[in-house]
Formats: sequence, C-alpha cells, structure tokens
Amino acid sequence: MKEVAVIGVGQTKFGKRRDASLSELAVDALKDALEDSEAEKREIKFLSVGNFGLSSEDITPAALVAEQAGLQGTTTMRCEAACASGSAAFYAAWLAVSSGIFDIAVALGVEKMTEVETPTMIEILGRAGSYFWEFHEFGVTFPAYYALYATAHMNKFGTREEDLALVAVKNHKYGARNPLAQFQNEITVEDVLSSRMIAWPLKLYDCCPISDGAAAVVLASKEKVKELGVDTPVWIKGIGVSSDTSTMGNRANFIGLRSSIEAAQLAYKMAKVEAKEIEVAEVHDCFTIAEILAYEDLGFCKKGEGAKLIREGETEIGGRIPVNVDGGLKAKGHPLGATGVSMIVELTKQLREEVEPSRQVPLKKYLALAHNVGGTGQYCYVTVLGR
Amino acid sequence: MGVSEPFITSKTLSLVYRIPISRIEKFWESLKEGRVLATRCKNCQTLRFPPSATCPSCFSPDVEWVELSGEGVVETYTKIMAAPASFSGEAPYTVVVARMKEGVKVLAWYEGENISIGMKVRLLAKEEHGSLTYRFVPWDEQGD
Repeated sequence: MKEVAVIGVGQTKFGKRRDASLSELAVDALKDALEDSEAEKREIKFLSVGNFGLSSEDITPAALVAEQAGLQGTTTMRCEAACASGSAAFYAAWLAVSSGIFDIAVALGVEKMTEVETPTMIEILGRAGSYFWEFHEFGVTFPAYYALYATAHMNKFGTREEDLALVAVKNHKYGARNPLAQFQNEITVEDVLSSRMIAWPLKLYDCCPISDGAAAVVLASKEKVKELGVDTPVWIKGIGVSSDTSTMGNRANFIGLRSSIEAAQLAYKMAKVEAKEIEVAEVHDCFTIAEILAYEDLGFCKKGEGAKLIREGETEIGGRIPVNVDGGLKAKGHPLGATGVSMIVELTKQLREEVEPSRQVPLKKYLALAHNVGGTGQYCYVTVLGR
Repeated sequence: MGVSEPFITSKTLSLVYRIPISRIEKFWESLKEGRVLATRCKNCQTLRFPPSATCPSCFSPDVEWVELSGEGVVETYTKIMAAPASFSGEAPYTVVVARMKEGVKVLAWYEGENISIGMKVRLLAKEEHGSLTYRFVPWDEQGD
C-alpha cells in the first residue's frame, strides 16, 4: 500500500448559490485545488465525484463535471453514501493512489440543494433511511432520525437541550470567522432554544441548513510528491469506514453510532495514533446532538460525557480538542456531497497553518481527524491526517 | 448570489414507484386480521422485523411467520412538528421505537397523550384511510 498525500485543496463558498450550476460550482473548486497543487491538469487520470443527487437536474454528474473541466477520457464515477458521499469519493481516490494504479487522483464533492423547493428537499432527505418501513408509513423526517438519538441520550446521561444549543453557538462563532461559511453570524443559547420546534427535542437552530457548494482535493503518491517537489504535503495516515442498518428499528441502541465507533477504531489503528493525540477535528454536526455523539464515539471523551465537554469549552480553540472551527455543517453549511471533501480541505489548511488567524488551532503534533456520517450512521468515514 | 439571479425552470419529473410486496404479502393479509407478524428463520432461528422472506443472517429462504404479542417497551421517541410534503396536515405526530417482548424492535406512530422511555406500549394492527398499518397505543388500551 502506497503512502498518499493531499497536495492541493479548493472549495467554493457554501450557501444559496443561485449564481452557479452544479458543474460550474464543481469546476470552480477543482480549478482552485489544481492551482493550489504542483500538479498539472494533464496529469489527472482519476476523478471521483461525491454527490447525493436528486435535488439538481443532472443525475450523472461525474461525466458532466469531467467534460466541463476538460477531463473527458479520465477514469470517473459518482460516489454515493448519503451525507458522506464526499468521503466516499475521497476514499475512492485514496484507494486509486494507495493501490499504485494511479499516482495522482482528484476527489471532488458537489451538491446543489436549493434548486428544488424546501419541502421537496425535506421529502428527499426523509427517504435517506428505510423508505418503505419508516418513511412511507410514518413520515420520519431526517431531523427526526437524529431526534430519536437525542431523546435517548438525554434520558440516559442527563444531556440537556441547553447543551445541544451550545454546539450551535460554538459552530456559529467559528462560522463567523470563515469567509466560506454559509452563516457568518454569532447566535446565543436563547436564539437556539426559542427557535421553531422541528422534531422534539431538536429545534430549527439545532439543524444544519440546506446548502449549495463544492470542494475538491488533489491526492498524490509519495513518489509523485517527491517528483513534484511538494512543499507541505499533508499525509493520509489512516482511514476507517464502517456502516450500520438503514432501518432505525434495527439499531442496537440510540446513544451512539456504531459505524462512527468502528470507523474511528479502524482509522486510529491504521494511523497508529490515539484519540488523545488529535489536535483539531472536523466532525459531522448535521444536528447538534450529532456533534455530542461524535465526541464520545471518536473517543474525545467517555460515553455520556459529551455534554460536559462542550459545557467546559474543551472543543473550542484553547480547549483540549478544538472541533469544527470552520463552523461545521451547522454554520459552514452542508451541501451533502461536498461536506466530506470540505472537511479534508479545512484540515489540510489547518495543518499547513493557512486558515484565518482567528480560527487557526495551535499545533504541536500536527494530527487532525475528519469524521463524516452518511444518513443517520448508515455510513461513516473517519480520516486521520498529519504532516 | 441574491434571489433575483436569472434561472430556467426545468421540465417536470414525476416519480412514483411500484414497490413489490409479493414475498411478504402475508404481512398485510395478517394486518387485515388484526395481527402484526414478524419472520423467523427455521434454519438459524433469527427473528426479523421488518419481515424478510430470506434470512439476513444465514440466507435461508425457509422462514416462518410468527405473530408478535404486541407488548413493547419504549426505547426512544420524537414528536415531529415539521412534516415532509407527503405528510403535510398530519403533524404533529409521535414516532416511537419500542423493543418487543420477542426481542425485535418496531418503529411506528404512537397514539396517546404521554410518552416516556421505559414505558410499556401496545402494538396494534390498524386500518386507516382504507390502508393497513400498525400503531403503538398506551399499554392499558385494547384498541378498537
């Protein structure tokens, strides 16, 4: 297995991007990633495209994006793993290079969610589970799936609605410092608690927004990194992927995501690092409860102590493990297919110490972790990056 | 990037799926008789809900239908206030996941006032708006 590095990253601004189509956003991100790297476009022979789909007009986006980027003839495919589609594309590109088949690969994630009406998008997202047994009969929405976890976690560990709100407050604080974020306003606990109830106990401000956006990364083998003379390669030290049932009723419990726990263990093992060594993390906060679950499932604290971690400020810059200091899905936005790739973009910039100074995490070991969940834990991808 | 950006409206795509239920048709036949069924593998004894004509554990096609007693304990729940387009007018509705006495878990709507984790609930087959379904109700209710 070859060692693989991230050598170029690019991302569009996330938000309501009514100024650009899916392929236009994708090419914007791809162009930035290539310019950020030492690679030439003609060297790109592999392009994986993470896209959940249905909310935009093109259902075969990979070839379209390749064409718009002048990359026809390249090995390409769409990768789908619900909200982790971007990570599925990243995983495919990593496999392509680590296997030795390609020496350079591009992973691109893109989603256009605002081309359809919001109720239609809610309808589409509610189907990202077991359509027949849970959506068709019972209209379980996507926030409701995570609300099932929130209720159980609050009941077992005494986690409070105020604790969930703290996650939104923190992520908005950092979103306000990130020019690429969808929301650049700070909010208060009271704003969250007084927002409209969506699926008890989750309120509007516990939920990430509907977003458009794209992100891209260029990967290269160790040999290629040397050949190109890359200044600051960011190495993919470990990747773990796992999955769980689509049917919520068949989950073992509702206090953590099995796929997160397993994916993290696999990633730590491959990277030969422990959770406590990670210095900055991007975790999947599609809903505030999801970030609390992630703290525990990734081993940043013990099971049941996630609320304590946010209450004590340990996941802010200056704390034990800063999390989502780009705003997270909550404030940066969550264009489904783009999110997993965007996490790698952010962590690569953090490890190169290139982000806005007000949200740069101080680093000693230069170890970062990305955690991207698909659906309600049907899929999970965890990646450990390092210098 | 404002809302006044020019755009072209696409052609309409109408999607309705015909979902095959031949292999588990007995589930709905039994709902009509007031019974909620699960499947049990005759080879490895795995009990399965939602029912499955092929055992997910050992792939045996030799499964039998077993009636659930209806006795369940609430494992978690949520009350949905913002419904998807296809459920507009139905909200609010409460969704419960309960562990049944037989060991399988069932997700369904709960029809009752109060709900809490650990509470005992009853699973009932039901006909509503001419279609067959199943619901949780408080344990002391016997249903219609």
